[in-house]
Amino acid sequence: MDLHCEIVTPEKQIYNGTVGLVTVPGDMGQFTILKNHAPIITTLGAGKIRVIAKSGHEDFFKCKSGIAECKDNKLVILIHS
Amino acid sequence: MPNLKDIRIKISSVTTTRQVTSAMKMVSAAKFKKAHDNIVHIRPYVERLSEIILDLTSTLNDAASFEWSEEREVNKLLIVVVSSNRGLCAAFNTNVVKETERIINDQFKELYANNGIDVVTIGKQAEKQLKAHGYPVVKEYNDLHNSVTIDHVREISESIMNDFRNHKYDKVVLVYNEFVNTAVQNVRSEQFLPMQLPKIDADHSHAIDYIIEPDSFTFMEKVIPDALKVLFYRVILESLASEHGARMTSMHKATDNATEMIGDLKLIYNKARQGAITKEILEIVGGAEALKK
Repeated sequence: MDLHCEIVTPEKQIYNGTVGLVTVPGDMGQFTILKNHAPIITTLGAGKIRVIAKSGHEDFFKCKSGIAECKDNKLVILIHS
Repeated sequence: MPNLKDIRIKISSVTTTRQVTSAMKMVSAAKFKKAHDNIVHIRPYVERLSEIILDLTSTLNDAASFEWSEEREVNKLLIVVVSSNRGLCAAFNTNVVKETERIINDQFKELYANNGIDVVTIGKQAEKQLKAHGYPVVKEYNDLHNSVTIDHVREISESIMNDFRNHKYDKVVLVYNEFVNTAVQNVRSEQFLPMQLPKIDADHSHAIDYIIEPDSFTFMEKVIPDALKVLFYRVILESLASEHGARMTSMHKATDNATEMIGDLKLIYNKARQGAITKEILEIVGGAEALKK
């Protein structure tokens, strides 16, 4: 079971795919989510979201504030702006 | 027998009208497509957001309350009416205005008698109609329709939310058209503030044990304002799509009616033309007969 990541803004969905690794700028510090992560909900601060897809392709997304939720190998990141 | 020239003029004027309505239909169709796309894009966001809020509410204890969801005794009510800047979109604007008046006169009759209701309008049409009927329109955001961006909408929702936080208003209700499809728009009135947190029923209590950063209370305090703003943005988008949908449908109908009218007029015109020719032949034949004798 691989980690599936979805990044959504109010305007559109900017990322959707199977990933190997996601680094998010949490409010209490930057951290990385790998597969089989414990269920977590966190607020995001300003920073960059780093996504490495299953294929090894690396993507960066800017984030001012947002939320991330991860459960059952499904990661949803909501970016407010 | 109607005058041929009059009918001709009438036909050409109806044809011009049909051209205008069909052009307007095309314009609204293009705008509608855009507005509809926006709704499609925001839906997943709103769904995910409410899922997260639901998951989190289940981890909160019952006593938790937030400044945005605090129920107060309602002394001052704000009604936000979302309409359009332009007309020619069937009952779109009339419906929101009617619903607003129904809310004021049925649900909050006493409050209205005590001057406890303020109305804020988005869009000229509702402002015009409500002012004409004598309701207290305190502010209008008509220029929103010129540039509907999330930042612009955020400014408006922020100022409304600040009024709620500063106890200027104890309750905020939104009245808007909810988009169903191009032919159907539902008028909805929805409580915006205080925010209603989802009710947790018994079968949701076995929720997953989340790691929550920073902690569930701080998290909710941070997320709720953003959620409210997105909610408000969605309402604006729904109304916008409804407006263009309604205008598209009504302009389509107008074009159809004009086509039918042109058909009828052409029939009358041809009848009159034939009649005139018959009359002329009769006159010639009559004249010739008279000469023979």
